[in-house]
Amino acid sequence: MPRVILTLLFILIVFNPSVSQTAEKLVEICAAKLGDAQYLRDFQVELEAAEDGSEKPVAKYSLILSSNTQYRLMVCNAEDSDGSAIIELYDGRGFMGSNYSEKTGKKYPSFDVQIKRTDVYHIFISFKDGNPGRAVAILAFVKRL
Amino acid sequence: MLKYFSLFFLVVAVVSCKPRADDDSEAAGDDALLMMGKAETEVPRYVAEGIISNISSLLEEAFFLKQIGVPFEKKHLAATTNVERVSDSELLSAFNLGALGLNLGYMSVYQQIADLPHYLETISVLSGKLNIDGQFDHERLLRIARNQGDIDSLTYFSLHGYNRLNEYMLKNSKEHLSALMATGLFLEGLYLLTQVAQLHHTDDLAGRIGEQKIMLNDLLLAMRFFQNEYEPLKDIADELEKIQKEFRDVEITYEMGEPETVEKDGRLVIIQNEKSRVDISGETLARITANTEKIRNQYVF
Repeated sequence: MPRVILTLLFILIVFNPSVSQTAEKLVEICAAKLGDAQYLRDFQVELEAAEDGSEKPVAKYSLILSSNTQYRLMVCNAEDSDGSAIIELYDGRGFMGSNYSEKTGKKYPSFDVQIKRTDVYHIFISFKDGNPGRAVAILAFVKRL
Repeated sequence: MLKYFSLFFLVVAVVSCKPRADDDSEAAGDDALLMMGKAETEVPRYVAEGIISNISSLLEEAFFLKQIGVPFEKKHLAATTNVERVSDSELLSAFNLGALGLNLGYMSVYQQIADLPHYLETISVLSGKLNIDGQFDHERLLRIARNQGDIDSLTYFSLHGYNRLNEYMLKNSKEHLSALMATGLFLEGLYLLTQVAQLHHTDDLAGRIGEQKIMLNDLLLAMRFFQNEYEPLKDIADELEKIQKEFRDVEITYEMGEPETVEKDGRLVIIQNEKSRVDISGETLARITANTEKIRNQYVF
C-alpha cells in the first residue's frame, strides 16, 4: 500500500506542471531563449496579488552594470503564473525603460540596454494589473560596444 | 566629489523612482555630500546585497580582455595547491572561492580548460569547508571539463553555480561569506586587469582599470554595511581602502544625456545617452597595480 501511495505521489509530482516547473527549470528554459547573449544572473520572483487600494507588489534588485556594454534583460512567466511580469530598469536618476509600454500596451519578452556608465542600477519586477505571479528574469551579456 | 556620486545614486534610486533627476551633476554631488553622514548606514539591505551579488564580473573582465585581443596567460591564475593553508579559515575560504570563480570565468571564456578540473576540485573543497557545497554542481562541471565538452554549457553552469552559492549565503544569514566572495572576485579581477596591463598596455585597458574605482567604492559601501553584522570584515575592508586611496587621482567625468528607447529588428533597445571619460596617469596605475598585487597576495593562496 505505501508503495502505491509513493508511486501516485511520484506521478503527481512529475506530471503536474505547477509542481514540476521549478524555478530552476524555468531559469534553464528562459536562458535557452537568450539567443546570442550569455547568461549572467537570474532573478526568481513570486509575488502575491495587490491588495485593494494598495500599490502592486514589486520585487527590487540592485546590480552593477559596466560601461560600453550591451546587456539583455529577459523575463519568462511560469506556466502556472496568473500575472504577466513587467521589468523596469532604473539608474540613479530615475526610470530608464521597460519591457512594457503603458502608452501602446505592447509588451516584449526582453529588451537590450546599452550601458555607457559603470554604476549600480536597479531592476523592479512586478506583475501587470497587480495580479499574483511567478516569473524569472535573466540578465545576459550581449556584446561590448 | 565623484567618490560620492554612486552613493548618491543609490540613495536617490532607493527613496524614489520618480521622473529622472535633472542633469546638473555638480548639484547632485553637493546633495550627496550633505547626505553622506546618514546614507552610509541607511543604504537598504537589498542594495548592499545587490552590490555583493555582482557575480557577473566572473565573466565580464574576461570578455573584455578577449575582445581587446589580449592573449590568455596562465601565470595570472591563482594557484590551487595550497588549499589546506586557507581552508581552516572561513574568511580566507570565502575570499578564495571568489578569486577562483574569477579564474574559472577567465579559463572558460578563453576556452583554456585543461587545468579547470583542479580549480573545480579546489572550489569543491572550499565550499565543503563552508558547508555550502550542495549549491554547486561540481560533478556536472567536472564531467563537461574532463570530456572537453560544450564550453557554453561549462560557462553557464559555472556562473549559475556561483549565483546559487551566493543566493544560498544571502538566504541563510551568511551575508558575510557572500561579501567575502565578492571581495575575492573583485580583487582577483583587478589583479588580472593590472597584471595584463603591464604586458599589454592600451588606453581601453587603462580606462577599464580606472572604472574599478566605482566598483570599489560600491563594494566598500556594502562591506561596511555587513561589517556591522560580522566584525572580521573590517580588516579586509581596511585593506581595500588602501587601494581606494590609490584611486583618488583617477578622474571620471560624465557627459549627461537622457536615455532613449528604440526598436531595432523587432527588439527593444534602451540606449543610455551618456558618455564617461576616465583619466588615469601611468604613476597612478603603477601604484594601483603594486597595492593590488600586495593585498591580493595576502589573501589568495
